[in-house]
Amino acid sequence: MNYTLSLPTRYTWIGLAVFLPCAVLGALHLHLNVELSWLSLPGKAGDLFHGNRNFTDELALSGAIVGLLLMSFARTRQEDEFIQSLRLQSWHWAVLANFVLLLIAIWTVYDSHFLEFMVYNMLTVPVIFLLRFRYLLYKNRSAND
Amino acid sequence: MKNKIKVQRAIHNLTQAELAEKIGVSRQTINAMESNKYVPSTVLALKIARLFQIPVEEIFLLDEED
Repeated sequence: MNYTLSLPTRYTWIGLAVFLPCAVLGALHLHLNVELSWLSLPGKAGDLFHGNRNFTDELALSGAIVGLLLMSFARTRQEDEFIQSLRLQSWHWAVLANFVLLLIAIWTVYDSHFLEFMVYNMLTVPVIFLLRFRYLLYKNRSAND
Repeated sequence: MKNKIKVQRAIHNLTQAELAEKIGVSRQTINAMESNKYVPSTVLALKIARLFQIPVEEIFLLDEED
């Protein structure tokens, strides 16, 4: 069967290899203001990317998103109609959980903490999807697995 | 919908993994069908019937809720 918008299984590992270092770098940048000097552009304000001379956070967040997308859209070893239905259930769950978290945060988290929360919230849909999907695969494993 | 996959599997002396491999689906799918958590597509139901060489109605049966 032809499953649209899916990638070969090996992209699970490629995605993980992209996601992990970028997520660590992003967390270090967000909380300890770590910046990689070689990601700085020479030049003055007013050039392209005005006001932004270092691209550590851009690289970290883009890498985290790309890594999570690769993992989310990689097929399982034996992708079939039941696995696809688990996938769909997991996406439903992730979107709902994402907005429930956001609604809670809107009323309980304020000021700069809210901005920090929103940075993480950009990644919660694929993260919750992956956790839920892996859990469902595990829960439905056969007796001799 | 109820099904008799587990019974047929026992008659043919197949494990869940062997059945999954023969019809080209995941082991999770066999497990979910046997525990009535998943209703297979028509294509998959026909493949299972063909493998066991019996009519599809002898494996899959409607229950009161259907």
